Order: sequence, then structure tokens, then C-alpha cells
Amino acid sequence: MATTAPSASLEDRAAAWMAFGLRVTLGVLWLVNSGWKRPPDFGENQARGLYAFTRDAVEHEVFAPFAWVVREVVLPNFRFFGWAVLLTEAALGAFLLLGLATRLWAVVGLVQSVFITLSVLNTPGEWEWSYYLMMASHLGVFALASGRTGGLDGLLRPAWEQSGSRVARLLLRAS
Amino acid sequence: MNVAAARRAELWIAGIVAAVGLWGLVLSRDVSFTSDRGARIADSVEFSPFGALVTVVLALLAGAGALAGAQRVVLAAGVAFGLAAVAVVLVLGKEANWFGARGSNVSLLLGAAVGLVVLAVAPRATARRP
Repeated sequence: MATTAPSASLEDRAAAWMAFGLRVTLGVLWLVNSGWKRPPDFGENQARGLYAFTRDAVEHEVFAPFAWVVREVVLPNFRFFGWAVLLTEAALGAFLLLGLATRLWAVVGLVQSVFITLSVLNTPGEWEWSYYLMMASHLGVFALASGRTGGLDGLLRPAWEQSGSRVARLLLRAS
Repeated sequence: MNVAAARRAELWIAGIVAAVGLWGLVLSRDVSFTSDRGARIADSVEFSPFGALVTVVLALLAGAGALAGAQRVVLAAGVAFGLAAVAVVLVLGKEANWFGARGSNVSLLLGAAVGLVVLAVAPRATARRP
């Protein structure tokens, strides 16, 4: 799936494969962390797991408007939001590992990282830099378009460029 | 799309998923065949022997299709992975979770499904005759 130009310098190829490594690392991060979101109640009945972390947005407020949304909208409809989190994170793992529509999924990962940061940044015992690093890593994957090396984006972009269909144009932008 | 590169990508996906499934099959050897609590690999995917077997069989089907250059077989394996992902979502947290799976399995199965289907349906460049 390598798509780095054969004439690229060793330095360029090393940089491209570093971007590949960053993308795969983030893919594994989301795959692993979609594992502990446990339906059907996502920890609501025993106030633990995803429910407890989400409630931290209210109990250890980071940003008042976000805390209000969590208190008034998310927590009363927690099962729906639990499923949304689980499916989003599972999809993040799948698409970042494949390197398909990578820039789009890097943005989704960045947004999810912001939500997590706004939920737990002020929770005692949390290491705040881990959340800043998550956001920075997704920005890096976006900036480097890292699905183009060792990913399906690199393999499929020539076909999308030739196609000219609306879907192909969207995928070109997303990759 | 370059035929050889597409086949290589299909083999990578099939190979990685088969390896994970085989690892799950080994780790779940002491778990009952359709247990809803599978054996866990490195804090990520969990498998009952049934779940691991489904994963391995579908990955081998995809690999065989890729080796034979049979895009329809790869497509069938990809669709089957997609159905397996949906099935896992529907039974997560229930006793009917025969796969012994957790959320991470959805990610793995979804990745295999999307990757194989996208590769199988993408137009491939044919060699030009002189």
C-alpha cells in the first residue's frame, strides 16, 4: 500500500512512514478504547465507566456551556450517547487503521478528543497533557494526510482523481 | 488502481485479521464455545472460540479470494465481515453475545469489512497490449 514516490529521498520516505506510524498508533488507541464502553447502560447503573467520566464534565467543570449540555442533554439520554460514543470510536479505529478518508476521520478524532478533554481535564488524577497530545496527534495526521502512505487513500486516490464523480471528489477532499 | 497493489492490500487486511483471530482462538481454548465473555487480547478485542473461528474463516476466505484474484470472493468476505460487525453490535452486553466480543471487535470487523469491500469494488487498471 506504499505510495511514496519511488524517487523520494530517504528523508522524505522516513517522514512519510513516521506519519503512517502516527496514524496507526491513533487507530489502535481508538480500537482499544472502544473496548471498555459497555452497553447497554455504559456504566450508568453503577455510576462507573463511560457514565462516570461523562459526569466529570459536570462535577469537575471545565467549560460551563459544555457542562450545561452534558447535564441537561447528555446524562438524561445517556444510553443513546453511549452508543454514539462507542460507534464513533470503533469507526475511528477502523478508518484510521485502514488509512481511508483519513483527513476526515482525523477531524472526527480531534473533535472527540476535545469532548473528552472538556469532560475530564479537571478531574483529580488526570494527566492533562495526555489530552493535549491526543489533539495534537490528530492535527498531525490531518496535516500530513497520512493515509497516503501505507493506507487505502494512497492506493485509491488515483482512481478517485480519474473518476470525477461527486463521491470521488468528496473522498479526495477527505483523504 | 494497480492490480498488484490492490491484491497486496487485500492480503495485508486478511492476514492481520486472520492472525488476530488465530491468537484469539488460542487464548480462548479454555472458554466455552459460545461464551459471552471471551478471552482478551492485549486489552483490546475479546473472543469466544466461536467468535475467533468466524473471524479466522472470513479472513481466510478473503485471503483466498485475494490470492486467486477473485474480487467477488473478497467482496463476499467483506460483506460477511460487515454482517458480523452488525451482529456483534446487536448482541453486545447481552447473553446472546456468542462472539464473546466487546467494542474493540466492532472496530476490527468494521475495518475488515470496509477495507475489503472498498478494494473489491474499486476499478482496476488492466494491462495495455502493445
